[in-house]
Amino acid sequence: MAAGCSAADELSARTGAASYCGACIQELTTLTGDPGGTPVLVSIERLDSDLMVVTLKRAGGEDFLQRHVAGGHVVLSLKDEMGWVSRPYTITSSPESVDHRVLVVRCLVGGRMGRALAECGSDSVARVSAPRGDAFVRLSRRRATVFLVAGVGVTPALAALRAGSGPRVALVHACFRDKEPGLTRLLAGACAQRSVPVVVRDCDALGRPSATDFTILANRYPGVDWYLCGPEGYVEVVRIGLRAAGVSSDRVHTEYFVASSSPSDPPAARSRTRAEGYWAKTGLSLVAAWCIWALLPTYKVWHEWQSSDVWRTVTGLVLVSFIAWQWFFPAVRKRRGGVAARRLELWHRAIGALSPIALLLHQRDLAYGLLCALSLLFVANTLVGCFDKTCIVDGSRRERYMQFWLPIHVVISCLVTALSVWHIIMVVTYQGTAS
Amino acid sequence: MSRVVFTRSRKRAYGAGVIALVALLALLLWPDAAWLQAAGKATPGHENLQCSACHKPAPGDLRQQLQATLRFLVGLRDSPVSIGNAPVTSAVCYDCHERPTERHPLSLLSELRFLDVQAEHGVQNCTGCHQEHHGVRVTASPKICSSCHAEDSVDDDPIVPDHASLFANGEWGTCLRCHDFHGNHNLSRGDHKFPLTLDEAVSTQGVIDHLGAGKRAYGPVLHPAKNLRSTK
Repeated sequence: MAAGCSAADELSARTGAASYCGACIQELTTLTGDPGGTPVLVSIERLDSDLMVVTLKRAGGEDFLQRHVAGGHVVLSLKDEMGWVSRPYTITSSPESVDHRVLVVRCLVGGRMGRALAECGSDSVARVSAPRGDAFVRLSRRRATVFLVAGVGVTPALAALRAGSGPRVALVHACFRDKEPGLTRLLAGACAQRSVPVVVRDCDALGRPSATDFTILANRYPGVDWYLCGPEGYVEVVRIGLRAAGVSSDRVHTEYFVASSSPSDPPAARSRTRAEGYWAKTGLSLVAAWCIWALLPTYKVWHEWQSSDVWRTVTGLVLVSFIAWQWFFPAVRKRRGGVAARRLELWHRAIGALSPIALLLHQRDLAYGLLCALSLLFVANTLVGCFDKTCIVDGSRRERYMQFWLPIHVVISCLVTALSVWHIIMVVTYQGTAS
Repeated sequence: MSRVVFTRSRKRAYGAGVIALVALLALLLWPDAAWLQAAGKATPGHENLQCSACHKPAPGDLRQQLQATLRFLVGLRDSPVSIGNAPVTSAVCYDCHERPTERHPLSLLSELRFLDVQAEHGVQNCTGCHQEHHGVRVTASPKICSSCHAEDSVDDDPIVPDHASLFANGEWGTCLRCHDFHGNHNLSRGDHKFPLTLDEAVSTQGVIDHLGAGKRAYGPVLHPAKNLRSTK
């Protein structure tokens, strides 16, 4: 900036920042307050519920000055109430089409760009950078490439299919949610034009590809390059699967598809990590406190005020609300996807960590039989929650850890919920002794 | 609204959850595991009783009970009703534990002169001293005797040490070494209906065992509980 860069694209050109994948372009825009780039008209076509095809044309109707290379991206910038929002997108139109550029955009729940696009009318003016990057730079032009993509990670495959000079595509294997009809249509059309075989897997019905699938693919396409693009979890599963199927890791090229950052996101991400650690420690401390309470006979001093029906009803309702809220998280994940659920994840973790307090207030003693099992399972679940995936840094190990951790957490949660319902029924229908 | 990928590991996890729920349901329905659902360990001698031996259905069907509860909650009814099972009353205890030689009948303990001790210890009900699901025979403190007998005096007291000095020293734990609260055991020693010295009396540990879950320390039972053999 001292050298006179006043816009993000100038700063990027000068420093090389955001020139490879564009992930940090928002920081440059925030730093300079001006994204730079060419004014463009935006027209939007809804593809699926959260997907849109965005077509960009130069405001004056001229052609774009620079052709892009297959796998290149542009930075699209729109102005909202907080200022400029800039995001990199893979160009999915053919490099030969210089009069327009086509992007496929997934609108995340609460995402700035999605909101800005939804609010901008047809033919709204935005800014777009010059094309940059080449996602296929490491792919051999001599070997064919198999694309294994998921969701909106299909865009590199679209780019490769539409580029005459791009990599030779042997197969596109796409995992879509409920077949995502818009994306399926788009991909099928592009594959048909190039006579490339396409396999669309309905992940809602079939789940992610299995080890057998990877073995079949590896045997069917020996000596090809493998290009993986999609959410981090998907890419890790496929990467591990291909390695297990005997595919050399230098033939596997990955591109993670992650939600882009907003100006406040980096510190938010850091504070999120801190918060995850904080809540895990809080949960462990409270579990330890509960264990001490359970083991020491002095806990009986609580009885005086815990014996009243009103107190037990109120604290019982708090516990019921807690359990209901904790199920809200997987329900949101199931209905609205991982991104929406991620917003709730910290709340899920924080409330779970604090839950032993509610138990300590409600519980008078360790009880007996199934009621004792309920309280032990309740605390055990808090303990399990404290050792969730955030303990594991490495992505592939985290995936394996989740396969072991999740069933434990879900089974205990199911039992705690069922036993709580049983406990409520027993409390209501067995009223003890007459006074 | 579109749905998201329900990954195989999640499917496996929720499948395991369903299996766990089915196992829990089977456990809840298994008659031999009914004791697991109790609020606590049964009183000694009640281990083989079914829940229904004491927990009798409340009047009305579930719809009526819920309707009446709702009316009570919104102020259209003066008193609450029981849902499912009625509270366990002393009458249920008397079904098995009839006491023709009762020294402390509930009719006596329910008199107005015992209002304070009723409020403090609930002695007007069997459950004032014998709460179920605590795994012991008696849940009240032996010091309960002091509530009524602190100012008693015995003329020509034959025992050693005498009652007056025991009362003065607050040795309320010794009462039950010579006296059976309900008069349902034969504690006679020779020609005397009661032991005359603490050496002849039941040991302190014997009383503790008897009131707890241990061996019965008093003499032969005069009126054993009825109906126990007829229940599971």
